[in-house]
Amino acid sequence: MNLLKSLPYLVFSLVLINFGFTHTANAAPKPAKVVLLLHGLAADMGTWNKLVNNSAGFDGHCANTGDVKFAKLKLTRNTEGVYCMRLNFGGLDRIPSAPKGLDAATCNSSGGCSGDYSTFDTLGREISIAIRRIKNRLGANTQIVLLGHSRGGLAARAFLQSTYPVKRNVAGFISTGTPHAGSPLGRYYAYMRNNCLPESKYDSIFDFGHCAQDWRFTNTVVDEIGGLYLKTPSVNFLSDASASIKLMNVHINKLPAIKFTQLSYNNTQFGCLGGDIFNPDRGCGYNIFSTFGKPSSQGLNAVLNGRQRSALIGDGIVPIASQKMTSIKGWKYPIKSYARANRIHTSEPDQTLDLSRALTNMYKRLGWIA
Amino acid sequence: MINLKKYWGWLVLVFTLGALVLAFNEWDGPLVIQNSGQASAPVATNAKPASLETHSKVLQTKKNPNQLSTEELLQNLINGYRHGNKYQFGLENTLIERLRNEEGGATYKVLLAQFRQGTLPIYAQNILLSLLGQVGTYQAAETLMSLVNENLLQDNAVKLSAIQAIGKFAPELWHENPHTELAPVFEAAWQTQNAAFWPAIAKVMASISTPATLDIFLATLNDNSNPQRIAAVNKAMTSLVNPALVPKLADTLANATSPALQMASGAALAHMGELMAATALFDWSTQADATKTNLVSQWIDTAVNTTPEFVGYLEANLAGQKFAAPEIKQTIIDVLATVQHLD
Repeated sequence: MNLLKSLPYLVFSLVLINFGFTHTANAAPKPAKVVLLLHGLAADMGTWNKLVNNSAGFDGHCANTGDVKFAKLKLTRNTEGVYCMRLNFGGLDRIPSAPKGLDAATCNSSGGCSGDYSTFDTLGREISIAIRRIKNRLGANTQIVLLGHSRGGLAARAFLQSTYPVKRNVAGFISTGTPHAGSPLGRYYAYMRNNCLPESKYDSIFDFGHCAQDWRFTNTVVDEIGGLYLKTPSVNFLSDASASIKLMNVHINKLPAIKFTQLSYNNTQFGCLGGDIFNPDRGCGYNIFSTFGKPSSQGLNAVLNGRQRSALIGDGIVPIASQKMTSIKGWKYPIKSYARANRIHTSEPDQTLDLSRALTNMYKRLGWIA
Repeated sequence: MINLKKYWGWLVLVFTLGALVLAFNEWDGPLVIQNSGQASAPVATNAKPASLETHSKVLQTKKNPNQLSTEELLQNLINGYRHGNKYQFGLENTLIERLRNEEGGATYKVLLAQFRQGTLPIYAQNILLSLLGQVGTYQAAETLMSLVNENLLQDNAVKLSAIQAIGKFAPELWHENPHTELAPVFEAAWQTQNAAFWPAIAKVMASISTPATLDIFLATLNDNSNPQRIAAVNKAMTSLVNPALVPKLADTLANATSPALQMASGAALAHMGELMAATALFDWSTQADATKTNLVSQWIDTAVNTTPEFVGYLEANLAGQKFAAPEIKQTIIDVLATVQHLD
């Protein structure tokens, strides 16, 4: 009878024992280790294919966190025991509150528009969703390194500077070619918005004015440079005059104390958006300052904003200083830096040697490998 | 003896709490997402995930999309577009899932007919084109390329959507599934006279990388009659990924009948990211004369960047290797020294 009276206590004891036991069981295995790849403007997760496919990267294995079957996908670690994950930004490009582009352009693409109609905060939200899925799949204590190219690095920073609880799972952040202080090319958007709207007013083939020339450039650069559409609002957010970037940099102190790495590329003239015919990684095969179909002098002047082109040398789109987190006022953490030369911006995710070295170094710093 | 009749309530409580504890422990388990696609014979697909779940929660139709036939789904979607409804995520996602899992021939005919009428709003054309890219199957590719071949895509934004949709057919994980079943569609589409689509078509062909594609590329370069086609091929050659193409590329590099063929095959080997390709380049360089020094420098530099294991290969083999031109050996030594000091 006494035993039955104490049954409630027994039940709660069993509950506590069960919790304690299972927590111990969950804690016993080593946390899963993941690299989450974050693409940039006008790109998708295929931008990382060379790194993913190479044996120095991820041996041809990388799961898409947005896959509807993600919970059941076969996951394979690379030889260093690290899972590769990646996502396509843009899942929130078509929500009614998404920012509009020039001429009130909206994203009309099933599956989104690469995040080009999203704010940095929205991109950060997409990262938080991806990390929640990864945790659901691999365990609550999964450790994650974020690797962001170009705007992907700013998306990572927006996430890391936010209050999402899942950011506790992020142990390291690597940026490559990221415009931490923006890109002068982004100023083209404000110039067009302030001077050349609507497009329909300037679409005559007999119009040789500067706005008509600038719209022709806007519509041809898309074909030349892998879908870079200067009408999208993200171009404006990436401007070196952008309020979004300034605000993010004001709050640089919100970054958690994790491991940081920055890859930067120098020696390419600003305005070289495409490489040589036989070597798309380098050179200046598509130069907005000299190519036929270039922007008007008014458009180029707006981009330069009184600066010499030679002062903006970097990877053709992002000046070298802007690619460095350490250039941001208030930067306080130790960082590993890699500096290379003569690679154009769009080829940076293809630099497998640089990326694999940066990743290996990060794994060592995190104790993932000896 | 315990009276079970008297204490059955306690037993229920114990079991209930036990069940709750078990459920809680499973809380962090895999997120189960319902697949709305109908069960049917699998079809060739390069299907990409539809989008975040945020989209699929928004259903814009009064009738449950699962109760509609695939043709009805498309028709409802188009009706919605014609009434200005851009946000029909539930219908879109259901249609994508359906088309990934069934042949959908009649549905594609409806879609083609709608484009041929020429009355679809621009944004509707954009969404429908992107939808084909999301579906990613042979039939979707065929339909997309029919729209291109019939010159039904005139607006700049629509062309851009089609170009981006073509890009979605590129395999994400070539080594797991190169989606060679899609190659014939794009190899046939390469014949289109619509030059705006050549770069995108050539790139997706290269990303699938069949031997037939390489033959088409080399024939285009050999033919040397259309600068725009040649430019598209030159760019695409650097996206070839199939190591089985290395012997032919190496042979073309060594025995090229024109500088264009040699340049394109060398660039393809340098960019492939396969050790076999990089070593083929190295083997060729051992026989190259001094006039090729700059070329070798550039290609080897690219090869070590795309193929990190090539650094180890050079460290092991360069010193003992004889070269026809000492300048070539020196330029490779210089490139190697550059990358050895990256850290």
